[in-house]
Amino acid sequence: MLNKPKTTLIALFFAALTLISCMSRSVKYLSRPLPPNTGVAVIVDASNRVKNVIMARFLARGFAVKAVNASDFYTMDNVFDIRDFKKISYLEREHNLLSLEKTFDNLYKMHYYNFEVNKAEVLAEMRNKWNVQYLVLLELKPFARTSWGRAIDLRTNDLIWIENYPTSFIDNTEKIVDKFIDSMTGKK
Amino acid sequence: MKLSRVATSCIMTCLLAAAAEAAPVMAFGYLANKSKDGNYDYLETIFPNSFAGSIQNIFWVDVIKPIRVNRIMKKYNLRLEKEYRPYELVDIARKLSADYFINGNFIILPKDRIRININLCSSGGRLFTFSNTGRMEAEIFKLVDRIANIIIDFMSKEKLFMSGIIPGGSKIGIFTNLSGEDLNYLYYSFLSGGYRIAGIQANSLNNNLSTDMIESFKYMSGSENSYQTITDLRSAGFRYGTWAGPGYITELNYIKKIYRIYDQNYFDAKAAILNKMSAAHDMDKILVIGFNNLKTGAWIRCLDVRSKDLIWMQSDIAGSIPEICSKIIKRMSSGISPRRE
Repeated sequence: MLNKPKTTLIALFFAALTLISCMSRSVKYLSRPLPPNTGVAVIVDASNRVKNVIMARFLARGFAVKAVNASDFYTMDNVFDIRDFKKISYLEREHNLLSLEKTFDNLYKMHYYNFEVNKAEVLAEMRNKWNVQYLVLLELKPFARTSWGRAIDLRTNDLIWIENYPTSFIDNTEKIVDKFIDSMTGKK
Repeated sequence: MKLSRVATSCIMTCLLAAAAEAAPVMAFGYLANKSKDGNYDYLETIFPNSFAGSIQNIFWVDVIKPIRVNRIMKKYNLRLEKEYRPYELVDIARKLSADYFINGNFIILPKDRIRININLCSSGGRLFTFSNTGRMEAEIFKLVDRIANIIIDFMSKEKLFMSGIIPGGSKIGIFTNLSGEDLNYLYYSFLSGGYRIAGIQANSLNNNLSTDMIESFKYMSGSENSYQTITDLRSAGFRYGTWAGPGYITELNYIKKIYRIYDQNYFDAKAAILNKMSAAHDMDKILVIGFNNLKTGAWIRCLDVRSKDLIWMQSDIAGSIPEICSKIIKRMSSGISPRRE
């Protein structure tokens, strides 16, 4: 059985340990705050119920939230699939491994560059057609893991806000989203 | 009996240690005079001999100068040529039992300037090419030292090459295999270091670049400086004959086209897409940072989007993610410190 001062000391020790670990994982950078009433697309990978909670927090703070889902963006596998090239080449050619490797690598790099160009074109279209000024990406994690967010100004394609926030045991979805909104708007 | 065993094991240990610590062998070819002025032909041998001397003074290496290379080549009924195709360089390095074969060319520029292009080929089939420009006469020795230092840096464990610093305020597009909070930390380091970050990769929730696929970016072709795999399409074995039907020929032509675009003419193909990317993001540099599986080590390649040139490469950057980020930012803003001799 522990006596009271000992229990308090142990609790303090763990609290200090948690604080130190949280501080080390926590980073924040804001180059220019998101203005109020601006058009934002919020991308988050969560259930519809959680997404509704998150969007509601942004709407409550005056943002014009555009309906965009992570699934609206195609992934690289949907657009490009070059795996067969390597398979066919290995089956049909002999003694050309270096040429093959180099061609495959270059093909992959070109696809990757193309993929990034395609994404930029889709984002430019979002900005022009739907007046989306900022792209906000969020990932909310449970207690003891790190939630993170970032925002991109679609006018310049500059990354303007990032934050890593270690989720504490008193946090819930609303609290984390409110904290992130305060952070990206320069309130805290 | 016991003593002889001890002596044998000592000799074996010494032999193994010697084998493990053998100095790398560097063979030098000519630097061809491309300036159409025969008065400078004497430099074709003087340059490689000077590089060999400078490198040997600083670096623990066995050098084979052109005159000795020629002697060895004669054993194969060959002679040292002034120029070679890239795929021929590997064969020469292997014939000379050298770890590296170095040759190149130079051209005299207006206003008493000279530009030297160097090919550094490893026996493993990797080719590092770079250029350096300096003044003739008074500064020629500085130029020789500069090139010798570039070669020595490249031969080091870090495989370091850097053509200049990346000034604060530059807009950088980063390709890396980190994701989520780790990727955010990486961005944080650059942003707080005074750089702007283009929203490539940052605009996706999940990173598509796996640790094995980012290895594809290790080799980069540039307008002046490149680090590439040497390929030889002659060994591709595009066989056909009377037995080949039209379907086979069509398929073969398509495959040849793929090799032509993505191997032989890759630099031009890449330049077009880089222009599009540059227009979309208005960025100055592309930085590729490849982390190992444990995220305890990283390598870097940096491409200048506007000049389409490889401007920085470095391997074996060890530490945690924050330590690696800090080392990268420091090197970006300070460049390579001058070597103390």
